[in-house]
Amino acid sequence: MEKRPFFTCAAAFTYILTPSNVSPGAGDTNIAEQPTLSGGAFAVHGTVDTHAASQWRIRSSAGDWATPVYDSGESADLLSHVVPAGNLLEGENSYYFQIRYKGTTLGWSDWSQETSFVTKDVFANIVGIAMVASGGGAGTWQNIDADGNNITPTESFFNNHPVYGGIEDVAIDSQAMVKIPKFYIKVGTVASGDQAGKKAWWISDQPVSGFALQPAFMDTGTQIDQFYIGKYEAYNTGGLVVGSVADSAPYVNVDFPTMSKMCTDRNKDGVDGFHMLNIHELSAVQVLCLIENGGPDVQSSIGQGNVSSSSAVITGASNAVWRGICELWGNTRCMIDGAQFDAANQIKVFDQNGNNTYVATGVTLGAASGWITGVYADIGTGYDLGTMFLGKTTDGTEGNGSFGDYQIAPGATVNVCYQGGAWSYGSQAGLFYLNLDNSASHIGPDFGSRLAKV
Amino acid sequence: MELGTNINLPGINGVQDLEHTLPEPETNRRIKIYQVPESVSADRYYISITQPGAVEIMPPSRGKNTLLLVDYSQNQKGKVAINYINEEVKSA
Repeated sequence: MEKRPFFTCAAAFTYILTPSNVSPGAGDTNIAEQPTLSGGAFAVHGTVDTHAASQWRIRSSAGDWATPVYDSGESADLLSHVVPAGNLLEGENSYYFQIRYKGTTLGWSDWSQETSFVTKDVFANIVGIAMVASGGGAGTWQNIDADGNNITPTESFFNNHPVYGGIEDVAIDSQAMVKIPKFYIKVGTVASGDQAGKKAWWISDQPVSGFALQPAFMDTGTQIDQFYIGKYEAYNTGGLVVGSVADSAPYVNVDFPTMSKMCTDRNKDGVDGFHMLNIHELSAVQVLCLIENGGPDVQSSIGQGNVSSSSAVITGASNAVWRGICELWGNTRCMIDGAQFDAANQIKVFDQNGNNTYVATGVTLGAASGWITGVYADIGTGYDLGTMFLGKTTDGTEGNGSFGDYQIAPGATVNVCYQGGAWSYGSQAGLFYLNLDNSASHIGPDFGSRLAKV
Repeated sequence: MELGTNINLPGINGVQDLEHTLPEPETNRRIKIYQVPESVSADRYYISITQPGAVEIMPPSRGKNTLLLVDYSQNQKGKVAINYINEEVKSA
């Protein structure tokens, strides 16, 4: 009987080499909700081929590859792939991932050797900004991630961020307001990463370790999911209350207590929570804008605003607009409730529980009038100046500033806070401009305010 | 519980059930129903209907005294997609 071989070999084996998992590294922990999976180089044995596609999949540690928690299917992401949100669970869950590569001619490789990773305890959307260097007029700033590494967040990133994406126009009691969703804040020195050692501000949509609720989101001891800021500067609706609508003359030539009363007097017949914009609410807007803008110099990056003219423009008419909030700088100086300076220039600020009671910080604002180069970070019982932007150091030369804006130091009487600058303030005006040398009884043609609501 | 043009919502926190009929949708719309203080509405319900591209109208009451009960979208044909239902409403 003729003997036949059991099988025959090709002249040479040709196949796509099994890829390797690169990142997350085997056993990595603290992995975010949308990790970037990456694999090693595409390689072929025995011939030449081109990398046509890849496939990425993840299983839970308790599951198997028959039921992966995520499968990209055939993907054009050849060497790295971002796992979409909604597939991984927070809570330090363990997962395994695999990759396979497809050659144009030879088809699919084998699956890579699975490697494990562990997710974060809490998935949070954290973004921050570091002051890389002071001086130069408006400092040098860099967006960073939670770990202090440089990032370049896009417009889309911010629009999809739960906090930034949740900022939207609403109407309340027929007033045009802008909703600011609750967020958590961390201010301090970057511990590691590209910006290690630099001062930084971060915000998070979740209450993760190291972050505290931004105090604007407290109302008489209760956490609130949002506050509202007037879309426009306050206008006089007819002598009794102020409002927030477009195309109106900002209300000026009124003292601080009267303006404050005209804000709260809107609260009647079921309407409740309106008040004058306060220091915590302003600070919330400032830090969000600082991070999204990539720095504090809003006049250069967003719009000059009405800062070089001889009178106020009507509401909504200038280009000093961030996320729908109009005339956020320039036009009229905005009365800000909740920040006072006594005759010795001690800083007093609203408490952090939303009770609107003043806390004497014991911190003296000693900086002379000048261009802001640094801000306070003092923390004590009932206050955290780090969440605010009160200039601690200033410089008389504009080119030495770090925020692009000016601060007028408090005088030897009890003074209140005015923000933003006015129509003739030129480059001094801006989101971080503060005028701290006028009393609450001061009246002027360029002193106005803005509604807020909880 | 019924959500759509006809609304039937179980009451919570001692508030009576809500039975309400909206106008038929002329376009896609988003509907939010809040529980609010009696000073805002005698039946303690506030219904906000927002057309695409329009500014949402919020209840005028203080936020901490305002409770979102349901949030749903309804297309022009009346089909409903639920965005959110308060847990107490779910279990009522």
